[in-house]
Amino acid sequence: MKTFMALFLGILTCATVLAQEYATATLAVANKLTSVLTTPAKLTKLTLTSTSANTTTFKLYDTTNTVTSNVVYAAYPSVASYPTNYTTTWEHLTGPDASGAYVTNTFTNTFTGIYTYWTAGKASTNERPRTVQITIPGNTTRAVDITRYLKFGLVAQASGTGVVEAEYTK
Amino acid sequence: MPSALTLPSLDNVLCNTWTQDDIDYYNKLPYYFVKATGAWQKTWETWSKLLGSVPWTPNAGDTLKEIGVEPTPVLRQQAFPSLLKVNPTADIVHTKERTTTAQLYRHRFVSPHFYFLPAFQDFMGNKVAPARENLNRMTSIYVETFYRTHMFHYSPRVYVCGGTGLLAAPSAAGSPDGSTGKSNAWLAGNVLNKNIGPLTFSELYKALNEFEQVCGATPYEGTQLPSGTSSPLNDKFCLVGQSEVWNAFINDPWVKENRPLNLNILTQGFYGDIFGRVRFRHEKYGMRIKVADADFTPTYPAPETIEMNPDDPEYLRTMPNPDYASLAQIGVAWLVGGANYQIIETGPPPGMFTSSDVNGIIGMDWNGKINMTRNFMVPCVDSDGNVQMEPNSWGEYLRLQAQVVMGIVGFNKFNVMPIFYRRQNTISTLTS
Repeated sequence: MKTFMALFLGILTCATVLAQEYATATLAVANKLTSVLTTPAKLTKLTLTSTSANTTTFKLYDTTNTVTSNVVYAAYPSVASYPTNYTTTWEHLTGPDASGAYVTNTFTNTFTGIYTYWTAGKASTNERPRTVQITIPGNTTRAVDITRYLKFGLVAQASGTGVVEAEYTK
Repeated sequence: MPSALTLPSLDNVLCNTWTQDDIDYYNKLPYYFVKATGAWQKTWETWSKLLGSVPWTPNAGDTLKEIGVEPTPVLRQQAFPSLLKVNPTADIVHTKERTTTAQLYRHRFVSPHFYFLPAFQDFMGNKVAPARENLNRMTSIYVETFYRTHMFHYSPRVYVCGGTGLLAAPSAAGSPDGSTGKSNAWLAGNVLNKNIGPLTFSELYKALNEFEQVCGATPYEGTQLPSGTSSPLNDKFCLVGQSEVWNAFINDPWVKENRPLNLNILTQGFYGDIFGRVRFRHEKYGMRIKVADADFTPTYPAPETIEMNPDDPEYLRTMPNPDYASLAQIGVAWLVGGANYQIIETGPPPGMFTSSDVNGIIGMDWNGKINMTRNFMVPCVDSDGNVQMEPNSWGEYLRLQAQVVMGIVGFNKFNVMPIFYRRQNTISTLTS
């Protein structure tokens, strides 16, 4: 039992010790991309501090690119669908009428179907999807518990000056 | 003691001399050879045991066309029949037919040309037996990969963990350059640019519901296909994934909150059917995607590589490729329902091509059987220094070869759905 407890506590300690790391970046210039993290990681907490007098919007991107927040997409097709009427019509011979001529009876059935189609997209340049965007009042600090699995790293940009502290695990 | 003593030496006074034998004087082998076998995780077939089969009919064209009956859609949630005393209304229902087509493909596997001399004089004389085993392994892996590739590109919907959820996806043949099917551009613009999360129980629950409710997926029913516990996959779905997915279940927040006390995740790991509805099957060499930071373009790294540094103790070892093992950020798991795709059983080649003749020319084979042949041309250099080809008439070379004809047809493509997830290899006490 003692061995078991020791093993348990050991694993617990290792997990806790290995769990958290911290990265801090100072955004000295407004609207400038600044590197916070340069490795893939699991982001668990953000502490954002505005050092501007005005309300500050922090934009954080999953990237290591501090040159541009834009990304160029190649042209690709998209798949979409819309509801549409599906109409089926049958004609049935119902037999001869009084004159001896054959007559038909028509049934029409209409219901809502779905029409799936491909559309051709064009190549485009857009802002990279934001991992997080948070706006805080000027000269304040806000801590946010957040979970994001970063594929590349973390780059921050703010509308004013500020500080970004990231808590993460690898 | 004399600095040098010439041997033989006569009439020595033993007390005055030290006559140690020269340790490098006699012949010896520079190495002591012991046969060894590189250890690697054994490969097992996953997809071929989860898919059905359909026979190919020869002499009936180059395309298989499956025709199936679709029932009438259910069009009402409330029913108001006529009173008995009035003329009743009627529902007129009819079935429809839909079709899908498939063709056969062929691929070859060839060993190097073996020369007789190493087999005669070298320590590791038998080069052929390991090559045969290796060829078998590679053939098996290739066919599994072919099935999976086909299903990946033809699946009409995908699920992306981390908030994106279910996506309608291109369903068409893929291509080696990533320009068709689930093209690189489509993946970059729709999947890989998203905040992708890990495959948790919460995600799996949502994916399962969407798979069943939106895709209309159907579970395995009364099938003889074996499951991990040797019972049939009856009325269940199957989650196919890499071992890292299964390993991560013990770190799953939902599992940690709800596990029964006898589910010992500390020393026994996770076990059981997920939500009682999903049975897990492991996939070796599962699909992993490495995403480019600049434009989210995917690459599919080779699962394994070879250590190339002659000074490294593991020189020439076949080992996991770091790009695949560590750097690929995204993994692909699969939710699979019953009656999904069918493997085409092609049968043998035409009879007149399959029999061996008296000259030792082997018959045609395309089921992956490995044949050993000496029937090929070998290069030789003539008096002008030009390379000419001449028959292997001396029989001093041989090689192994195999070819496989394969096909897969998916009448119910909606019953297979790729799940994109962010790979994670850590365990923590945090819930998320």
